[in-house]
Amino acid sequence: MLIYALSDKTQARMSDLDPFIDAAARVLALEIEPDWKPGVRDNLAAGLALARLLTSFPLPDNAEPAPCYEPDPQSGGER
Amino acid sequence: VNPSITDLAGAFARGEQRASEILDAALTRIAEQNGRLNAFTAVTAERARGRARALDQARDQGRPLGPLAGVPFAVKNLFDVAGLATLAGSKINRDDPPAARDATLVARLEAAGAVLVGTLNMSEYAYDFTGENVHDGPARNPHDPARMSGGSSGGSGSAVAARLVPLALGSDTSGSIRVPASLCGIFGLKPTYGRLSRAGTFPLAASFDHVGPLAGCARDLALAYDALQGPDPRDPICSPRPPEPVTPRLDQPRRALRVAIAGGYFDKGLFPEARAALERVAAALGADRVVELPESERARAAAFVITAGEAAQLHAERLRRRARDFDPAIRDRLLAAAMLPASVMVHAQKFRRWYRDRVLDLFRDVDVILAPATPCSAPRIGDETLMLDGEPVSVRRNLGLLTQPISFIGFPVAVVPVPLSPLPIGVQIITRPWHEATALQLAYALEQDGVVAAPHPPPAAVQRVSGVS
Repeated sequence: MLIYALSDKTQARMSDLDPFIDAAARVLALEIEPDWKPGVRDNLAAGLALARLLTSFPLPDNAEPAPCYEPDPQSGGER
Repeated sequence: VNPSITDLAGAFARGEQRASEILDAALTRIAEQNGRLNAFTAVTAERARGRARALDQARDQGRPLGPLAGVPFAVKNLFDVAGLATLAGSKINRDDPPAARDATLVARLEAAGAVLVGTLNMSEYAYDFTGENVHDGPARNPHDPARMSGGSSGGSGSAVAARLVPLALGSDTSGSIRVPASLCGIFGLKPTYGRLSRAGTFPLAASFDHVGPLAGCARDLALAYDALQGPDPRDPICSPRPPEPVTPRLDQPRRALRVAIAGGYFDKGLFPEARAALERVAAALGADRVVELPESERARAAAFVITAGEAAQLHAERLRRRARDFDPAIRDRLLAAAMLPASVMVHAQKFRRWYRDRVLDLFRDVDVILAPATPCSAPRIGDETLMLDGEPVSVRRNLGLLTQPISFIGFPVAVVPVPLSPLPIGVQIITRPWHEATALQLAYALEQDGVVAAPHPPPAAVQRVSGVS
């Protein structure tokens, strides 16, 4: 049976997504009409499956994210 | 009749054709064919006539003319055009005030003498690969209007493939230039991330948003690319690198390039036409090895979650205020995207650096990597699934599978059209960052050798019959 969670340490299933969606929608102040729910659920399930695939890839603690933040891109520092 | 940019700009410069005549011909083609193709959402005829008159005057007075002088072009409707609201394929943005000025790339093409004739249909907020649009109707494929143009730059693909204009601009976050170029059978360039200015374009996911040209031949693609290059303080991601023109060295003798085919992930789920097109290009370029871009399925997953997170942030207020005005398919996607945990996005951004480093490693031993642009040629509009080896596969989720891992790390890609029958399909020529020139030179060489070409759509009368069959 498919598991819709970020880890297989839990038994979250498709039916568990509905209360999650309801709670998240309230907390995030998003309105979801009843007939939108199946579409949201399908997309969330697909997104979680991809997220799970991604996060099962171990990264070292010192891995840096890709975007580089420059505190002052105009400055070349002291010369 | 298929006048290229070179033909049109040459005819104008030599005085054989007035810019106004070239423009009128384009406006006539659009008027005749747009009802069937639904490529344009606005035609800027008045503005274009003013531009053409000014060009004709400049020529009469012997003033210098730009390399694209007199050439009509159009842009995906997420590019700002002064005086028009920037729709980005949406209903909601119709209420926005008109743009005060043109997007940087629109201004650059006009500075080179090109003439903007209109804005083009696209998937809502660029978050889709089919080219369908619930508000404007689908942009249709000129090779068979019952089929998808591909998305999200569907109108760009349709307009160029039908020769309504020789040049269009599109945007590509996960494949939105490369997918329509493939399905419509034309040339497309997704440059290195940061090469071309995105200033004055409506975003989707800033980490991956690229802009670039689609054209009917490789030389036109290079001519447009050269006019588009250059730093722009209005886009913080745009590189300070000076322009590196490709056109003057487009037919430079080909040095011995090491050409590889992308295996593994990129070899799965291909329909026969994708495999045939890849084999044809690979043979012509002497590809002698297969390389595997490791963990590409995870790269695609990481691109998906970053795009979802950035799009959910971008549209958060619109989702709260005007959820009913979205395309339902896009709305459901964005609502779900808003519920993914932030930690997953950070994981994806760290993975992005890891994946980039692995792919850069591969490019130590090769100069070019080839992969199909789409797993199949154009599906029928409305098709949800396609059958592959007896199994149903989702059209929406699969059209961008082969493009998304590459835009994830911002490497440049030229898509070349292989004119298979009954429908064309594209192949990606992937090079290392900032090496667009190599990809364009190969595209040009392949076209000169007759391996790739943007095929002419069949006459409209024939299409109408097949469109209803």
